[in-house]
Amino acid sequence: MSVRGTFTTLSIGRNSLLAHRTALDTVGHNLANSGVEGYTRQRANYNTLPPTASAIGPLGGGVRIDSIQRMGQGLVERRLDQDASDQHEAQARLNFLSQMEVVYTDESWGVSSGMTAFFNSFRDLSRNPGSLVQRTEVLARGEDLARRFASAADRIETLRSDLDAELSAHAAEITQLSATVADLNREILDVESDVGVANDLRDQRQRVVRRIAELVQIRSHTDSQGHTIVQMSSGHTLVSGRRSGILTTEADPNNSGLAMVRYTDADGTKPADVTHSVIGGELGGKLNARDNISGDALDRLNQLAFSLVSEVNNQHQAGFSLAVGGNPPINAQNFFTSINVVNGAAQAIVVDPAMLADPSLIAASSTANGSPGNNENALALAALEDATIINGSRPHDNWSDQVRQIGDQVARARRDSDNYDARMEQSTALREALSGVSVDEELAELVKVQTAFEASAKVVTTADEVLQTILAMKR
Amino acid sequence: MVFRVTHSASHMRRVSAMNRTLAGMDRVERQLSSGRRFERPGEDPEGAARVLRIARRQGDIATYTENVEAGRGMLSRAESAVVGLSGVLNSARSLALKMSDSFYDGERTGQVNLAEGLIESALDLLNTTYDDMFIFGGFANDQPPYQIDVGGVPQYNGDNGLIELDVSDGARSRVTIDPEVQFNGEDGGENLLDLLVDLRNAMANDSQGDVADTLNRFESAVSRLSQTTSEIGTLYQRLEVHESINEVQDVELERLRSIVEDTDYAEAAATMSLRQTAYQASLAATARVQGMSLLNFMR
Repeated sequence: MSVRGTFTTLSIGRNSLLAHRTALDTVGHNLANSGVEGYTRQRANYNTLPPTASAIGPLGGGVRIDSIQRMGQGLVERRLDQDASDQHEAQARLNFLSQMEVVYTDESWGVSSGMTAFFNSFRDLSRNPGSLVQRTEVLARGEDLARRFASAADRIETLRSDLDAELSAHAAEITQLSATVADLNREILDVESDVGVANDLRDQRQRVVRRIAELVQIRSHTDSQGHTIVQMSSGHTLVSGRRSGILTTEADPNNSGLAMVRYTDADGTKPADVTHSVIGGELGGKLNARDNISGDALDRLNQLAFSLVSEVNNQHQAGFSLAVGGNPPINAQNFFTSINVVNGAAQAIVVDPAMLADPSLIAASSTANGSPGNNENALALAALEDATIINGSRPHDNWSDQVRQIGDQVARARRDSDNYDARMEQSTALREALSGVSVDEELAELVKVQTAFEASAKVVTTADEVLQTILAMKR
Repeated sequence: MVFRVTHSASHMRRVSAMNRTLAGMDRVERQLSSGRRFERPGEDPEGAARVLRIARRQGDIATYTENVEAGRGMLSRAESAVVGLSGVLNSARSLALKMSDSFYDGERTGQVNLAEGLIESALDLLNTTYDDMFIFGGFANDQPPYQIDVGGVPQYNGDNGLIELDVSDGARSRVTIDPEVQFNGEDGGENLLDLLVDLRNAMANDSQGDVADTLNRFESAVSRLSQTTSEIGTLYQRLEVHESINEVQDVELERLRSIVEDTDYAEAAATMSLRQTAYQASLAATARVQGMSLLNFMR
């Protein structure tokens, strides 16, 4: 063995020690990050060094670490983005609906029992139409019904405005996260243009993209330069290279002052109203809950209130009041203050103040002769309970239908939420299988690398002893 | 290649499985403690809508029951009044029979007060009230419908309005009779007060013939009142029919509501026990697996 050969052994040992140290660091890094969500395990890729020529042929040069590989898969990450978006959309919808269904739950202040009591108060009145006590009771039931409608509508309105207030925070967060992704795009490119792959920065970028996906449904891909491009499913670009778009909210005068979501691209041009094109994620779920679920619920409630008030007033106008104090009976009086538009009807129901001031004005009679015992119009008013006055359905059926619809929506949201949770769990398990840190696996790797390191150290000490022996031959 | 299972993935699966079991237990526990299968529409949308429809019908039945009670009260008072009127007319007929005998010639005038008393009694009965309403006043029931004016002529201040009440689903029943027909002779019968006044006047005039003329009329009036009693009985019976319909419906609705809404305790308790076992097994498995790793064997 030549002196040159001995140095080669030392060199092989040194390279091997360096390689195993790097591998040890990688294992340590994996173990240290095993609890970090979204961390992608890394693997030190060994590669045999090129052999050197010798008289007996090529001699092996040892080993080195070629790369630290990030064990991620873009396809899985994109699937997780989609699942996260669906999961958060369903959860936002479920949270809202769970609060809203309370409006339709409590019998003690629900609309249904209010309507029953209201119509039955006319039946009670029919027993003794001349009784001021019964008339006062009818007014009390009318006021109670008005309060129930207003309370239901107020509750839905409050939930809607609470939801609306959260939209601006989500828009701001998406804007800020998009800017972060753009910054990371730049940073990653800077790092990778020098040497290697910026594994941890890529993880960080993926985590930020995931958070955007939780907020709004996106499509993402990597361009030829390694930049992550993020677009909302509406096609509006949130991140392109080192530039990012902006989402803001502003009051929409055409939608009762509720927030409108506005997108502006990186150049600050092409501002667009994306309120109705944003889907998925918390933002999409909340916009859907605000504009469709609560909007539809309010429309249905208002329609019921409007039709009820109109029909009760029509029938009441056909009847005659009680003759009191020598005054002749009068007709054409409204029971509730007239409502002209469906929108906001539930909150606008009020018993006519003239009625409240004078219960004898309740038109229980069907004739103008002032007979106090005539209960025919009271019976006709009570009969409205079973009349098809709300778009072809009866008041109670209409309300039951509203309750069933909300129930169906809650049940569907719960099913969706459970399904998306399960799908998310499955996708996360798949990601973990590919990219997650297995402590057992890393520990086994640790033992393997440690052994290799010790062996490499032994090579160095052996080469050193050989060298010492050779040097001693000269003395 | 073997599917890699990381500690993190298995931890996630265990936690979510435990949460699912716990959520299931929570639901059954709520069913057991509240006695209701569901508390919110989202737990059973169709059930919640059905319960509302049932509750509405139960509320209506409660009102129908009150209406039936009120109707029965009015008809009972009417029946008592009619029975009383029959008694008055029979007494008047006996008086007329007695006074139609020539034996009383010259003495009838002295007996007029007996006829006056009978008129007063009839007036009281015809002005019978229920819940401050004069039940024989038709719709004009806030004041006494029958009176004798200063000239001694009977007056009727009511009308022929018939009071109806809602007594069961889609059914309305009459709870008063038509006084114009039953008492005022509108359909060719006798006007009761006129008849009594005619007797009184005949006695006051000591007219044997006029007194005798009333006898057949009394016969006819008493017979008419029997028909009135029978009509009241029919109305009363109709109310009872509706009352029993309401009772049956109320029981049926309660049964239906119970089926839709109430917890099946046997089933819920069995489910609870099953889920408890599953949860305990899940906890035990978690406790055993959680601490296992290669690290334990490297120390």
